[in-house]
Amino acid sequence: MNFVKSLSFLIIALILQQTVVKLISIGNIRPDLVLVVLVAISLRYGTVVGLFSGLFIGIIQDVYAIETLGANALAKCLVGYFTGLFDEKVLKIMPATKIFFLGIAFFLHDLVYGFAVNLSWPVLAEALLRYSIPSAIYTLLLGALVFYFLIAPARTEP
Amino acid sequence: MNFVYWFIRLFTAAKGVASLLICLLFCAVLLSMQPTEKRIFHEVVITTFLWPVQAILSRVNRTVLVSRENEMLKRQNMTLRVENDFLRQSISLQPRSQELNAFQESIGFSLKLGQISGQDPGRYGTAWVIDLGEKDSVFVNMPVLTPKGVVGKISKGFHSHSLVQLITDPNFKLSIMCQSSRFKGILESWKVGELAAQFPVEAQVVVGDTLVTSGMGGVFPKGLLVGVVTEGGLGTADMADIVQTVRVKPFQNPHLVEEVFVLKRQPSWIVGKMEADMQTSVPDSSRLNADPLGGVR
Repeated sequence: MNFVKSLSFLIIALILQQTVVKLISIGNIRPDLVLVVLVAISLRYGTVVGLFSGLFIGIIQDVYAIETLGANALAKCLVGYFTGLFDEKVLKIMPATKIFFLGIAFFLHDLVYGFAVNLSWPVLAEALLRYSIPSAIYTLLLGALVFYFLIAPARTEP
Repeated sequence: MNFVYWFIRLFTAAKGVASLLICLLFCAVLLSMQPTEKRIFHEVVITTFLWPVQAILSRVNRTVLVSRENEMLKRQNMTLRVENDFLRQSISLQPRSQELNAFQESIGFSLKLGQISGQDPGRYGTAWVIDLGEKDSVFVNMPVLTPKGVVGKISKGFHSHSLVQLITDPNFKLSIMCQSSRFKGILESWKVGELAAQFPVEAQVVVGDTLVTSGMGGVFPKGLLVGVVTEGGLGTADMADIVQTVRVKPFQNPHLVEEVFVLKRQPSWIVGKMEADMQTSVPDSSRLNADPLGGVR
């Protein structure tokens, strides 16, 4: 049931990513709303749900970029799994720590993606500097809002 | 039942390590696919369980695209409309422009063509702003006319624009002459937007006579067309034994003017002297109204 709920959130996030987020992008820099939701889901429901949710949404993204088929799926399932290790049911995590996890997840995702598509070190380093860091900052700002309004109220529930 | 239980246990045990390995294996398979196999995978996924998502995305994207296209078409339409108006304006200007050029050649004076860029917003509309100024050597008291006749004079000059005082301004008085009988008189505003001329009572001025500038007053040269007498016997009874007043219809209707000529002619020395006298002396309304030379105010 949690998996279905997670998929619904991710599909909504993907639709928003393809429509609304395009409108708030600054040049090539745009927040990764799908990653934010994936991290939030993994922290909430754990490794297995995070893993399969990441795989599923990664495959959907990959289907639209045939040349790199599997790269997004690999990056997102790893992010979903490792973020799920810090399951909120097991650990009590401060909101600031969640933002930190999101930043780590963002870099892990881009690193794995870069390796999966066989980017050379200089290209990968340049991509990380020119694209990943600004996008990560933008994503963290968006993530802070999502965590503050969606996750924090849920944590206060009895 | 046991099979399902063990299956779920396998996927969830030890924080889902088995699931992770299966997923990694699946991703490795995807990454190692040949381009043709990737294409087949893409086709299958797109046309089966991704179809609803695809439909939603397409619809939303189409709506966004249509909205943007609509905005772009609106801007394009506005640009074309402005361009069309500009071209229409240019076409309508051409006959007038030819007429103005012919007039400029025929009159013999040095003329400067100007566009009317503003009008006195008051009810009487007695002043215009034209796009000629001191940078075009246009100065105060230069006559302003059209091919049909006199319309006013420059009352104030600025660097790149000037104010034109129209002959319909109640403060404007112009020394005129009946073209046939050669009697001289004063043209002034009669009612709002109408003109009247005062002649000596013995002057032979009849309806239909053409009035031209007399050349007295130092501002307007002699012989410029002003208007035609349309009605006689105006004025108050107590003045009837001294002057006769006639209604004048100007040759140039001020409401139909878009371009004017400024006659680049310095006013006579007497005009400058009068203005200097008026500035130094104590203002006297009766003296100002007398205005022996006419046309200078």
